[in-house]
Amino acid sequence: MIFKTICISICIILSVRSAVNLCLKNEHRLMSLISTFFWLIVSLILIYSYQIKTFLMKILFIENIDYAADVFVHGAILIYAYFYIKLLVIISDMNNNIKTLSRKIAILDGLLQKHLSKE
Amino acid sequence: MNNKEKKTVFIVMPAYNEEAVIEKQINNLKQNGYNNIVVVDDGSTDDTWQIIQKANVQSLHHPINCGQGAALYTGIEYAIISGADIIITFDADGQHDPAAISSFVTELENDQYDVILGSRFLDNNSCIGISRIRLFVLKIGLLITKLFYRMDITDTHNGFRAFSRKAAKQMKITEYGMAHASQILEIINKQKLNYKELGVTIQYTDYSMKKGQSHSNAFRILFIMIKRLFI
Repeated sequence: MIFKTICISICIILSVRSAVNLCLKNEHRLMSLISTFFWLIVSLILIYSYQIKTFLMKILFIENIDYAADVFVHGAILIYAYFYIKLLVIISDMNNNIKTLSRKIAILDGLLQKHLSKE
Repeated sequence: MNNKEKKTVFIVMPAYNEEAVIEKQINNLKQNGYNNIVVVDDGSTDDTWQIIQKANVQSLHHPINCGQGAALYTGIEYAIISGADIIITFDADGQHDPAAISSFVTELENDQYDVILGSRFLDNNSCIGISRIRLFVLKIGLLITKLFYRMDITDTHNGFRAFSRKAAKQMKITEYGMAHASQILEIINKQKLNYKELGVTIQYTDYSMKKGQSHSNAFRILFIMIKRLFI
């Protein structure tokens, strides 16, 4: 129960963090929106995991499931979700950051050339 | 600044693989009396950069191809740092007539407007050699833009524009691809900048049609516009 509470708390914190980024930052807002909804859904899955588990057990005709498996499933969902979103954000950021860096290099080089030609 | 004081005009021209026309276009601008020309080479793979360097203009070079929006933003930022009062954006493919720049400058010198947008649909017979498909796509784009931004304009994706220094500082372009034109309109709308359209003649040639964006790109721009509207 304690482990589940910690997982839910982490998901809600990440969801709020993404929502704050969505409101404050001008860039990568699509990614922030996806992250917000993603963490929200993961936290809802964790909150209603008992109901989901009962439903799955019913449709799969499983009689019993132990606590260790429960912890493992929750942990796996959390780790998978974190790295999946992280990867998406890194790829998107890298592409735009490289272009911005390219633009800044061009401006600095232009200013330097202008300064040198004056001397 | 006194209204009658002569303002510094900078021409910003993004260029990507334009070795065939860039020199002629630069010479045309110089012949019309414009010496503050900023040419941004957007990571060309041909000899565009070498030609620009020899052309006695202020040349900037992106190490990689970033897109027309990025090249425009680089040029605008550089022009602001260099002390420009008026910034004209101009296509490098020879579609625009440098003689029309003076009317854009005159409008901005009166300090009545912040942005002057070129329009190929304001006057009749201003689109020489345009195909029916392109005309149709442009008209649809215009309709969608009017719907999205509620701006009274007749042309949305015209590269011929003029910005006052104040307006140029607001142009923080984050759409590095072709969607920058829609973002510029969005910024004008959001920042409540005073704008006016001026009729310009666009000369469509085989070269400019080949260099221009594909019609399918319109869908991509529409998607970006929807994305920008809601998030």
